[in-house]
Amino acid sequence: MTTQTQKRAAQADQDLSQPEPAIAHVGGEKLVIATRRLSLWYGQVIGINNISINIGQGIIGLLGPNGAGKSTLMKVLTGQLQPSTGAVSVFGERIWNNASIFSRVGFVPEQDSFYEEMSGRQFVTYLTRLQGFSKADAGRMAAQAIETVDLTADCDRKIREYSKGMRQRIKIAQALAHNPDLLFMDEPLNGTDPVGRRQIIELIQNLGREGKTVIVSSHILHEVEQMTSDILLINKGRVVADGNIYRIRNLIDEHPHTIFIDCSEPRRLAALLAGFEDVVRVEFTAPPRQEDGSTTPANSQVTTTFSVATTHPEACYLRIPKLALENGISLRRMTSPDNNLMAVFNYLVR
Amino acid sequence: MPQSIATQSTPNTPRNLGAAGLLTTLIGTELRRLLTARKTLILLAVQLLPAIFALVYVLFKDIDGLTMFRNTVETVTLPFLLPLAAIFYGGPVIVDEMEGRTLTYLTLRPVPKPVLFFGKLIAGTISALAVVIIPLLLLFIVCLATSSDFADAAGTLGALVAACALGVVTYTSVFALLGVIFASSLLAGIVYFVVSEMVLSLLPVLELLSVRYYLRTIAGFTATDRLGILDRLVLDEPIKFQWWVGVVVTLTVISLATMIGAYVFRERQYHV
Repeated sequence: MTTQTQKRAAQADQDLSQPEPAIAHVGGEKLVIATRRLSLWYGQVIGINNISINIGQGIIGLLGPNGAGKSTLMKVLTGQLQPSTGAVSVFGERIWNNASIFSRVGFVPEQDSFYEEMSGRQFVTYLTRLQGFSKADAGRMAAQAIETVDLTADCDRKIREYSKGMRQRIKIAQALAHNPDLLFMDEPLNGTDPVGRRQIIELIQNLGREGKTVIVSSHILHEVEQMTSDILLINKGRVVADGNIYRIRNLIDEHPHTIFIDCSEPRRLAALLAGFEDVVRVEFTAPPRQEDGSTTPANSQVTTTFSVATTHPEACYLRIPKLALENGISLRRMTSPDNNLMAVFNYLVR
Repeated sequence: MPQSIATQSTPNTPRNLGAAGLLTTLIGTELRRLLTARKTLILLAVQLLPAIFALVYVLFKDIDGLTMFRNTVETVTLPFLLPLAAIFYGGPVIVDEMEGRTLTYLTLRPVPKPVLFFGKLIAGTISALAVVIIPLLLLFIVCLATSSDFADAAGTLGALVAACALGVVTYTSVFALLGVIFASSLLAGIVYFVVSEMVLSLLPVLELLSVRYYLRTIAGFTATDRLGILDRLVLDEPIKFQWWVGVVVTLTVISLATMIGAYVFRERQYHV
């Protein structure tokens, strides 16, 4: 076992020192986490595949479909798993078996597991004491963290009596109590009601403003979009996109971009648009579902919507109202499913 | 939700990341959890059975209390009750945290993994000792009621309590090691117990591989008490050591099991 560990450590040193041709970067300038050629295999199954990233200060959204490798990556970044190859450094230090780093790190695990017989206060105080604080200081810091997650009124109840949302909050409190510089949150919004969700998002935004680095994994994309524009998109264990969401969106602008149009004379407008070189497809299909769940127009028997796929969305967005105006066509709505994080996500992981 | 934590907490709060302080916190909390756990009450009830039966005997039968005490320790406590307590406190040292999926909270603290292992092992060992030794003392008090030789009784008690205490610590560390290595600590513990402590301990020479042999040596149970017939088939007379050899061997087993357990726990990845 020693030989294997030493070999891995030597390989990791080599991996960190070697120049890397394509290193993904996400977050601010100040480097917090660096990985090089990071891979982890579960027997024959690959968990994460050759990931080289620099993560800077700020709030980072870690996105990907189920089984993409988000949790595995988080476990490797937090030193819970040792990579099969490659290396991870956090604050410039190796993370695997380096306990001292955890005085600056907080972690909100995805799993709903606790010392159920403890009260919320006991739970947070105990884990804060394991951060090296005295009983009195840990108690005070735990109380503050509990107040931060708005659980003071229930902090002396047993955790086994907590609702799902309260359990989620107490998990966050234990990660916050020692005031870490780096916080990992694995699906922190799971099980929370809309109000709780809003509060957690605000808390994460506050932490970001205070200069903390928060890495949030989630599959609730529009909520991540509310927290940050810096994202790391992974699928099948690989980073498929990184950086600012708007920069990532530009990636898909190089590819056909779909715009749904609802107007008074759809066939005429479609014919006009089809004449342009950048329009690669015109389709009369059902319109996209709106946020309120309805379609446009609502259950109409006459199709008044169509979609165009364009390789130059900026030009097309300007052209459509202009053409409608010039030809006396009433343009009711122009929407694009591509114009949000979900579209980026769906496109890039395809 | 109020303002964030950084704006509330006092900067530069003193921190002591020394192993001693962290161990104290860990052991204190673990002890509280273990001693108030349901399994402790159940185990305590089981461990009290010899004292209850002894009470019935001394009330209704004319029996030598000291002999009964020795016999009970030799035939019930050493071979069964010690491993029973140890398997319930030693095996789950890490496995309980894994199965409860709370290990993450501990391993993501600035506490080196070996310190975590030691802390939890020490707490488990203290709990096992409490569950075994307190009923043993009660048994002794019951038996003492029918014994007149107090000086001899004190000597017997000392040797037997020492053997039992060392036995608890040894078994707990062995079961903790098995729990760190194997996913199912209970199954691994039972297999070890059956093979090493039940089968091997009955066989001449091979009995040297069992912990029970050395505990009997410490307790002062003679070789003929042990198993004369099989011994005589192989050897002219059973193998016999001084009590201190038993102490040295058990201490060596405890040290090795603890160190190997800590090392394996440090290097192993747990998919919690």
